[in-house]
Amino acid sequence: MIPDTSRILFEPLVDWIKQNYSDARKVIEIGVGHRIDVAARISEALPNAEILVTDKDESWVRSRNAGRIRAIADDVMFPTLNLYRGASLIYCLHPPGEILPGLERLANGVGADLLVVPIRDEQHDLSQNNWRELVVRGRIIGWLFNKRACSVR
Amino acid sequence: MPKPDAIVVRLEDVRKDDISLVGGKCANLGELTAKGIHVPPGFAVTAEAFRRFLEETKIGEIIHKTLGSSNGSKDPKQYEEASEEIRKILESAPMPEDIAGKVRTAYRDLCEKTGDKNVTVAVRSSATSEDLPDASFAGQQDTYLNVSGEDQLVHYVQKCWGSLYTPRAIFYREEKGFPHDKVLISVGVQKMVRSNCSGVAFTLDPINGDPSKIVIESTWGLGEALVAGIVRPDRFIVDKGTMQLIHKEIVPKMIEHVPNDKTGLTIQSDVPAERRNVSSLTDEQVIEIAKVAVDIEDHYHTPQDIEFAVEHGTAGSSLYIVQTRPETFWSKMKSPTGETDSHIIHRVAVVHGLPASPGMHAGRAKVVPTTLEAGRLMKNKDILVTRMTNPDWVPYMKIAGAIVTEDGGTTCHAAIVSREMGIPCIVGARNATKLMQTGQEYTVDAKSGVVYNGLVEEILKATQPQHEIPTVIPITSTKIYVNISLPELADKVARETHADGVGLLRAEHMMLSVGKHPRLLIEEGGGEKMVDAFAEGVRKVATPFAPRPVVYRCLDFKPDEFLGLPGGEKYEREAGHVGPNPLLGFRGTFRYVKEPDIFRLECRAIKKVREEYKLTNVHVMLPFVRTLEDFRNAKKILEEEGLKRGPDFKLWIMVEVPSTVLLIDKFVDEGIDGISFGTNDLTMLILGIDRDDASIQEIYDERNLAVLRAMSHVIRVCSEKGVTTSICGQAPSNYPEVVEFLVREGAVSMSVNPDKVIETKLLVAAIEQKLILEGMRKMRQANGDQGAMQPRWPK
Repeated sequence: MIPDTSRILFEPLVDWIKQNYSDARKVIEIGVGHRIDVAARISEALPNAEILVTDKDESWVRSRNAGRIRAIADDVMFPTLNLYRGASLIYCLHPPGEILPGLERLANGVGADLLVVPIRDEQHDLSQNNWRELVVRGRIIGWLFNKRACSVR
Repeated sequence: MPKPDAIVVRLEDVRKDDISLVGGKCANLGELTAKGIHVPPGFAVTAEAFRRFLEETKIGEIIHKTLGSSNGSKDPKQYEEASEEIRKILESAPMPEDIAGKVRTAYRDLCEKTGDKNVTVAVRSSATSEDLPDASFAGQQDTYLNVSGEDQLVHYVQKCWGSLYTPRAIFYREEKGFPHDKVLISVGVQKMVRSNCSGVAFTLDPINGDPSKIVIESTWGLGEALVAGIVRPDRFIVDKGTMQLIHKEIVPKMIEHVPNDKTGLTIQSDVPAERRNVSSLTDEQVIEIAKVAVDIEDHYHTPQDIEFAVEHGTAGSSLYIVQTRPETFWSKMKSPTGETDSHIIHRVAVVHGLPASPGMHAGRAKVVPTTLEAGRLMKNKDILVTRMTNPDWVPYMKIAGAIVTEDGGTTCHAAIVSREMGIPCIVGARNATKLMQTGQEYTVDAKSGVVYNGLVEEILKATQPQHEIPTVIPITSTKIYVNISLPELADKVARETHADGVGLLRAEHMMLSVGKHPRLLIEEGGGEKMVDAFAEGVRKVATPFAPRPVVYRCLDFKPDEFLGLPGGEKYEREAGHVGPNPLLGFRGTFRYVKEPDIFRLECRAIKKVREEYKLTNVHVMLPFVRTLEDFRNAKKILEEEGLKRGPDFKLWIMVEVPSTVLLIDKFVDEGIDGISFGTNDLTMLILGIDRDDASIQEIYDERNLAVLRAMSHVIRVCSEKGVTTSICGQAPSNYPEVVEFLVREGAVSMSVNPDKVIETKLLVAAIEQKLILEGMRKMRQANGDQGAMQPRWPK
């Protein structure tokens, strides 16, 4: 049973991923923490994709095996690249600003798109350089790294 | 202590100072044995034995003469010819009888000690220049395994002596500047461990030099397959501070090296299907190895590269350390800088792999399956692409601009040697020999582990140093603080940024770490968990920064941001807190007054840090203050919880709402010690912009005159009343002109993201000097010096 916590907060995000990554073979959530439900929803939306979630904290990861989602302990600042190979999309919900450089390096390294949803207090850390707003129905719901067409209105 | 003319010495009798007699490898093993580390028993045939062998057989002169003719040459083929000639002479000469006799006696003693009348031993070189702190010489001399019987041992000792003159060994000595005639060889003889599993432990992360990690790679069988890079190993990372296993990657292991009992040789065999996908080490064994690795590192006071073997016996598993040597790449460098990559665009990745030796290089690829092909094709600065290297490849690795291998992990030969040589290297790049083509141009980004087609301009630009870190960080009158979200990285940030303190310690990620809505925690009786978690988070930040100030900003999640936590639905949405625009909703100081029981948990955490941990450099900042009444009530709660303003406890507020700008004098009168501008919300509210509405973002600008005037007013009032002023929004991180504005207006400090601290310090120093100069000119002008504003030319 998937908890319903992401009903409003991340619902547009899941819809957007469903629309834009329907042919994805692998989608990865980094820093899953206590929130497995978004990955579970993406897993339902993309039945052909492997959904992988990671966290630095192994104890969280151990308790996060839900259905066909694979959970692995890994530190994004020192990632095991093999895990991320072949990913079409890497996403991270509420990442601390300090790990953004690590996320960017990883996405570049494996050639995946990167999507983050920062807490609003850190939203403006992303307004520079290669980040673009992900806009859905006029609202900014996340930020994309190195991706051009990202507006779904 | 062994005598200088000893021919054979037991390992337990040698120490690290005996390198000249028994070589670095045996000296290290002796040192470890003495320390109580489990090392296979054995002895060393000393360098003196070899010296006497050369002298008494009179072949030393022939050898040195032959070598002399290849000196100075950089052609690998010449090394090979010289090597072949020397080894033939050396291995065919008879060993003097007294030396052979002592080797035989030592072997019999070892048989007695191990209770095996024909104990199988490993015979390894231990050159007197090998394994020195500045040159790992990875795999430079030969090793012979499964040697059994006195005659066979004598034969292989002599072969080991010959391995001092392999082409790669000659090449290494020339490259490192070791004179050939000064390098003698000792031979280590150790009981053979019948490894069920073996591997390598690094006491730092060999990919990035992170000294807080222990990286262990292991595989089934003997260690040769791992060191040679023939197999991909299981990989484990242990946090050195907590000794917790923080990462493990178990990979399919298809082949292993095992001893052949009939021939005594090592053979490659298929791993039985039931073991292929099983971890080659248990978690407990990983931790055991990590602890021994730390002991060894502590003993030598320098990072180590340690080979180990695990033998399964009737009485359980035994861990043996078979070799240790100093890690030679990162130990010569500073700790990782946390530098960020420049962003890479317009590139087509050809292959991906593990970044084994950092750096970038663009050039032509040479896909070479053998050293013969390498000798034919490789030219200076070419990209060497092959399946895996071994010591025979070293001459070609040396001239390569970058190395890409299909196999191997971060502890394989290619990885170790390329790091030592400072050559960018990617290992484990699957299908590289098929996907890359000889003669084609590629860009190797060994920081990210990617090979791109063609010459990627952005990467090549990035190889030029962009910003040298100044050797002297300027001391500025305006303090430069840092914003921190993740307490785990505070120690690194404190060390690397030289920030004057923390101007914004965010609580939101601590709340996410706790993992439950605070109301749910309280209902479940877990309020203490939040207090402890927050206190621990704040302690992690306050400790490395002490005595520099740390300003903790109380939790300011917007109501919808709580929804991601268990309990969020019930205590936010169902409670009616999630309005149409959460940025303007149930948040900030208003919330503390409405939910004082939650706010009190935060207060207790801060009190705990200040009183129990004695970290009195921690102060408190209230966010999103809207009214005087809210501030007054929140302050009262703080005081009730023992957080009362005084000489060593300061209370700040964030200036984010226009009401605090307009009433700043009243807030000062109520009792505040400092303010910090939150320019993100302040800009939103002054300009009337919804920060989440994409259609109006183009007019969002912290440099808008209205925002600047608001800040100017607050700084002026606070300065007059002795209240400190700061900023923790993004504006100074993004706009240098805002930094100059704040310095000119008299802001006492500013707090920026970690990657902007040094840059901002340099900028502020320059601005402050400019202001001093302007002030001096104005003073001279005021004193009647009319030329003060004019340039002066020498008369």
